[in-house]
Amino acid sequence: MTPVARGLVPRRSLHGPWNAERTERAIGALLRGGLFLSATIVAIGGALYLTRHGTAAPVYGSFLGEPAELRQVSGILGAALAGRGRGLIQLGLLLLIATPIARVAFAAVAFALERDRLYTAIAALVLAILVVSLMTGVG
Amino acid sequence: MPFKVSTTTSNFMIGVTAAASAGIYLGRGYIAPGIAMPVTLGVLGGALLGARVLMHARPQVLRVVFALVIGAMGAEMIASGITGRI
Repeated sequence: MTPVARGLVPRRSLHGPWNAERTERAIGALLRGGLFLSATIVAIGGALYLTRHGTAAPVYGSFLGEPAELRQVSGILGAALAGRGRGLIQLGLLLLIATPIARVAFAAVAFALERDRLYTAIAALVLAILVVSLMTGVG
Repeated sequence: MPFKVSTTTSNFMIGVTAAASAGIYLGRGYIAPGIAMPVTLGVLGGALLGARVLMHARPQVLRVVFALVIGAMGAEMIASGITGRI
């Protein structure tokens, strides 16, 4: 490990099953998993969308919002399960948005397992801010 | 502040804070799947490639490439604004 990389990971408890390095590795796996799952779904949805609507001329001159079906989680899930390209793309984007939120939630749990109270509190605060902004900002 | 450390840290912070606003944009119907799809795949591919290249790249070269790309993007945006082309 380079001196810079070592400096980025605070040296906390190195004993017990949950130490800083295990946490960092698990977070890395979580981020990579969410990313690849999301990218795969977006690519499948994009391929379906392009084969069905790829030749239609796009209308970008005036702003048209997306239909209500592609705005809510339930509608997006329904459209994706029905095999619609745009529904699958939105589902992949939802997963992409959920990945960093899951990362913060996981960090809070991992810091609690490490018995690091300060970092648990900071992670919980960040998670609360994210959830509150999502809940109050939509609609 | 070293170039590599400052850019990766700022990208990381943008990623976490943008998650909240991205959900709000989606909920209000501002995310068009037809535009978001190529952007997402391109950004993800570029990020994966960039993370690997960054480890071996020389900061002086990165700085020049970064300035050229940002300059070209800015010029393209100004040209689009003047000609009124979308």
